[in-house]
Amino acid sequence: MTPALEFEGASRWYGPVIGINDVSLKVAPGVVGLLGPNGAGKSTFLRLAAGQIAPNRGRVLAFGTPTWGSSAILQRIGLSPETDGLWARQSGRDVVTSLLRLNGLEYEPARERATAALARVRLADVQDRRAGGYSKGMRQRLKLAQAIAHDPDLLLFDEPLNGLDPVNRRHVIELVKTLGREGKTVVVSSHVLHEVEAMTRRIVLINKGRVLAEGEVAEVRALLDAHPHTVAVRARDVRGLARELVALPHVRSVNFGTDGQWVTAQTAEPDAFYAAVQEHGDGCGVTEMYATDDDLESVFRYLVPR
Amino acid sequence: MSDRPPVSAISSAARVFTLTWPSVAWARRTPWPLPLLAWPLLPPLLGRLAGVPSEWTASVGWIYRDVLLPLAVLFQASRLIRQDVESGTIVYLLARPAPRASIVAGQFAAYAAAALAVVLPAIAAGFVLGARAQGLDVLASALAASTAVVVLYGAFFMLAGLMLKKPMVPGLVAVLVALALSYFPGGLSLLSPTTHLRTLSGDPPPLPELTALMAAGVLALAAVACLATAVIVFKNGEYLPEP
Repeated sequence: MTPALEFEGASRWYGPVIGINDVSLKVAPGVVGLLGPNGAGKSTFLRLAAGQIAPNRGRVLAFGTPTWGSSAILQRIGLSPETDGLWARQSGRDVVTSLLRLNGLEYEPARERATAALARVRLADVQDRRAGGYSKGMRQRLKLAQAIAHDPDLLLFDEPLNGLDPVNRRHVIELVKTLGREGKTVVVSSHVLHEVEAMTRRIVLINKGRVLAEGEVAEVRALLDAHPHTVAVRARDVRGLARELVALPHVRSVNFGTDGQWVTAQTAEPDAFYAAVQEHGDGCGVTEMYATDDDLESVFRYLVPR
Repeated sequence: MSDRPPVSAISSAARVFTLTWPSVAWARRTPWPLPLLAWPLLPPLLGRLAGVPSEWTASVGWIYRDVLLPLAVLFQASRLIRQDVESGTIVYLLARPAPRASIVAGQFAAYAAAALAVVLPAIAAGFVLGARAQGLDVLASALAASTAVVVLYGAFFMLAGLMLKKPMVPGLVAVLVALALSYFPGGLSLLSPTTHLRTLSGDPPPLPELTALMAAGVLALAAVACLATAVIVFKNGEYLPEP
């Protein structure tokens, strides 16, 4: 059976900077986490997979067809990129509708699919608002909506949980898992292990452009447990939130941001931490949360032979 | 959806047109060239208000056709596609199964429609406001020459925007070189689009055998060549969103 995504000795560099280096792997249906620290080559991997850039060496194939230079194969690929730019003057629904029309749909079916996709990412109530007025979390979900709207078989999500509040974070995680259960191939990039762990057990570890390991997340997780995770939380009542967080047994420290809207906490148990914020967050007006730590760096120090 | 064939280039271009039309028609930089585009209206209007009658062609003059309009076009056309690269929207366009040629064609059509929607009514209104009556053939020549400027220089500056990171200064130099070249004697001036634009406008040609129809043909061929090159450049290029 032809794999949904295949890298055959693919390398890509930007001048003297290596994006990815001699990567060979096959991705089967289901959810796969692409894990690595910032600058590891995750976005390059996804850009190659989406046909946005060409490999300097080797090949990148989706369903057996090279992704670079073949517009037809893009019918089967959905990309939610890291970049935030969208057509700010148009409503969320108009953006998705217009992009769907580039997939060959007529206006009415495109409109219907756009509405359904926006409902799937919980943007139905703001779908007719200008995309330029969306919060970061809403823009993130709009990007996901346009990626899934044409029902592609291969989905590429670059850091899809960035900027999401706890409730929507949980919802997007569920969405990714559902897409995997539906038989789609979903590649999700992240630099935060427990984010990926919430979505899948299958991971590809990447650092400095090289694939270090493929396999079950538990092995990597074991290496991480010794290190605290840093999480930034934005809330209206940061002091109230800090009081709640300090009381948690697994929270080692809490710091306030300089603008009075953020609090950062170090925790040894990120899952318990997120559950606690979920529980207490509403009262403190939590609007955004993301992990800031680069703990994977330490994992990579174990994994990369010196 | 997976089995759907790729959408045709023409229908994709129409859809890119719809998607990009608002940002092409009105962006932060749009107000700058507006006075240039609307220039044909101003001298006749001021002349009429001051009670100084003037012939429309003399009052608007070569400076509009040969300098102001190309500069306005430089502002507008050189940021086609580039503005999508800068805003990050290019990623979404390139992630769709639309042929890349259709993205070039759709954006160019959106630009040309937006520019002509300002230029042609401004010329027509200026002509009507002109104090001295002139034949409709003068208006027709002016409309044809201005359309040629929008299309030819638009295609050229779109190509420049695709190939150069900062196309404004080279574009300005190109406009001045075209102007200077048109004053060269004999056949050498035929290398300048300005010469052909003048001939299309009804000015005496530098060579007697050059007709308005031939000039229009040369300009059309040059525009097609620029657009075709822009398609090739865009097809083979990588456009990563700028940080």
